[in-house]
Amino acid sequence: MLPTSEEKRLDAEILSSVSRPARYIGGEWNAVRKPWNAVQVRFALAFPDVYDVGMAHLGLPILYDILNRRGDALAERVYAPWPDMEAAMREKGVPLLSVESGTPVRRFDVIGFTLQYELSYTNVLNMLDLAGVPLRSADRSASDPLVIAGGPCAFNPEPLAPFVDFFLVGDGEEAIDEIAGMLVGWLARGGRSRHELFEAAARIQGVYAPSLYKPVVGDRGEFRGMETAFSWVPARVQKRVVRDLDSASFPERFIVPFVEVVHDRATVELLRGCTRGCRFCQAGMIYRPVRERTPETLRRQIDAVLRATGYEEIGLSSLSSTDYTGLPELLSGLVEDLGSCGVSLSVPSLRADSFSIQVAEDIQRLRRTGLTFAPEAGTARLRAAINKTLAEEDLLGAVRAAFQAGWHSVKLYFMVGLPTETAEDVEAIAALARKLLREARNARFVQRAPGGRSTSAGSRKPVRLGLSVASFVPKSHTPFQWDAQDSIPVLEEKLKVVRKLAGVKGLELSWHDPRLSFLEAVFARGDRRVAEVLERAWRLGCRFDGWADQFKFDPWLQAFRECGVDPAWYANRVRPLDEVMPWDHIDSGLSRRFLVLERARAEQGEETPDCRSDDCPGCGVCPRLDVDNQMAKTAGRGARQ
Amino acid sequence: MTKLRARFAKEHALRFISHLDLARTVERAARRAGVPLAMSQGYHPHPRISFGPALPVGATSDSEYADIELSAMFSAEDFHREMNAVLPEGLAVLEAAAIRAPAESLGGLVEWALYCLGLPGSVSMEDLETGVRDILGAGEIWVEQKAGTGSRKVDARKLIYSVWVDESGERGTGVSSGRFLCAILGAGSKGTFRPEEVAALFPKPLQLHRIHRANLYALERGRLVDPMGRALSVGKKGCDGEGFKTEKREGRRFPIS
Repeated sequence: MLPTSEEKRLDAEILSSVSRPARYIGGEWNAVRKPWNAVQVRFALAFPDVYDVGMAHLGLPILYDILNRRGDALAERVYAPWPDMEAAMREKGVPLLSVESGTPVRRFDVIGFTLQYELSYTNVLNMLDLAGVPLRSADRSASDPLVIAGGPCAFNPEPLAPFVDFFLVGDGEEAIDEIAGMLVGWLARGGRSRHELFEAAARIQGVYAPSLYKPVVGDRGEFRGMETAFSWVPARVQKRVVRDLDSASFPERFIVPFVEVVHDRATVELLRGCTRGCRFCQAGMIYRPVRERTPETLRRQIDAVLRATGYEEIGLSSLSSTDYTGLPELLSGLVEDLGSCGVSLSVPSLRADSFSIQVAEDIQRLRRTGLTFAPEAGTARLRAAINKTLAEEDLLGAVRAAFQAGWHSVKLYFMVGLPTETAEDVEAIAALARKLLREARNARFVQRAPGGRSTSAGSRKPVRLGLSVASFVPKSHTPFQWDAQDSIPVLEEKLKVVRKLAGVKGLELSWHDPRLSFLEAVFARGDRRVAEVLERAWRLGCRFDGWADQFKFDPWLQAFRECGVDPAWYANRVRPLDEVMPWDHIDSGLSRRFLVLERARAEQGEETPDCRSDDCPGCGVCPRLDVDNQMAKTAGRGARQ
Repeated sequence: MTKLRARFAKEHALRFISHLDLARTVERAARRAGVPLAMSQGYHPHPRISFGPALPVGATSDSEYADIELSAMFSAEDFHREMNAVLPEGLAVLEAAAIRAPAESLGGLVEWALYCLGLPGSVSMEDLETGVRDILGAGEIWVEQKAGTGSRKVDARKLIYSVWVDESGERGTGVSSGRFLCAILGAGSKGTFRPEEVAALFPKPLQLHRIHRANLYALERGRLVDPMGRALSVGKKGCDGEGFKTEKREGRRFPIS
């Protein structure tokens, strides 16, 4: 399976004709090129979006690093070509190529997709097609690559079930090693029988091979659950969990892109999982339990990453950074380590509470980057219903602190269409935004000079509040998985209320297209029937659906019509509690009882405390998966309350 | 504090990275190499590195110059060696030298760029020579140049220092057949003329197969002097000592035909 010289490549003529050609050239610092014949199994790690977006993702480099450390495997990357490049490739007959060696992707043994976002699914199909690989698992033979997928969207894999040979559900660090080992064995035995392969794969915990599961449909066409092909196939696929994140593999030799990418920086992962328990948040449910790295490990990783990359910025990644128990120690250590070398620190996902003031000031002693808070809802009542425990005073305090400390811009995330939302809640978003803007302006008058330095250079800039408003998308494995999404017209009405703020000086308003949120809702809770719609929509030319300038809604509506599938049935319907869900055979560790209870509490406006500081609310993950929250520090938590 | 001036080559696939990409890549490589970079003051400190005029995306170059301000001693020799150990393939330091402050900035200094332009074999020598003679013989050549959203008329003749045909294509280019048009074109604050614009001045507009920027020059007392202080002598039949440095150095061929 050596690449042959007569195969079409990206030549100068093609590269000269497309936008941002450097996306496609490879050769970045730290990219790994292993000799093709020196290994037994070759992975093409695929991100179904354009390079600039895909390079921001942390999961792919983790797997890339683990696979390339193996003596018997190699991994290269592949991204979705932008439409201008796709057109050029199709015209010249150039197939989808890997970034590192320009090898046609169909020559790899495995194509592994990472699924971060439902609206990238048409790109998955498009990439398979560009690679010259049959779309459907059933149509592929032993000479085709194996198509596997993982990432958060694998927690409801059904919309992609016909196209993917198997999914990996949960953390990939350990499972990818097992999968690579299994494949080496299978290839050594001749690598002919796909069934033998799926069966071997299905014995790896966390692997879901859709062909071993057949949907049972009732008399009225309703989904009744899955029937397994063999008695030994697990009825429910349990997600993988890395128990000890501190010792888990982490890439230090990050690839340094030439082109400017989203989040153009090196990243370390502070912790995985979140037990705040926001009821709309799928990540907060499926990545449990909380596992923190120690400050010592992180300082070592940051030092190594900066040395290996030369990056001028380091990002501290997690679902909620201020919850990291080692944060004060880590930040004071970083001020010491990085203080003099002009490296800036980016701490996304800060909670807007009192602790953030201290964090914000620590960060700005290094170098300032953006601050983002996510109150999500405008009223205390609705915040209680979604379990986003955040008092308005805390939010005001955090914004005040940020502007006093010299920030001139803060971003805020809100959502409309949440369960139990009333007109008053929507109005309150606008009112709160105005209040926060006033607070920000007032904060400027009592500005202090941090570190004795004058802040006049920063303070001359006008105050800016970024306000980003999304529509609620009900997700699988959350307490709101039974809830309806508002219809597109209702969401548009609600957004109109917020859009009245447009033109207010100092407010920068942005909102998500409700039609995109609608499609996202269909696929987030879809079953195998929406797979047909997906393929149809792709054939009608849909690509890059998450990109406002590429998104075409009409072909989607046509695809639903032609397939006889009603999208509203998936997105806008309240599902009865006893309905069998398309993802019920995927076991995230959460107990059904917990999800039902949480939903009832949402209706009552009752909050559920965080199990890190309070009683266990019984989500079920720890006993079921035999895991525990793993904290870097147990002492000193009082200081954060 | 000390300043280094470095000359980089940009070749192979890296000719598709933009000027900004190059700046980021050099900055990050300097951090990897442990170069003590002087930082600007203020809320967003950034290294004090300044580059010469931007190269069009898709062109190769032996003339990517950068001035790097240092916060501590670091010799030009160390810079040359350490940077080449951490630059991605396709970028290399060709030479580096300490410059004494206050030296004129690259932006203020550079006025001219020497290009070597690859031509298809089908172009006749006669057409080329006629074109060159007409250009050099003209008193003025008025053309439209884009300026912001509109356009304006400029005298192209003033932006063409010299142009000649180089048939010694094999000299350092790794290409044994084929001809090159060499041109010294405006590349600074006094006006810029692009290789494509020269190509369009020929009776039969030339198709440029490749664009290589060999060096940059200031005009000092009637002589072209590059940012390292070396003079270029231009005669009727071209110039000596310049060409495809990268190709000579590595003995490589052009990567993409």
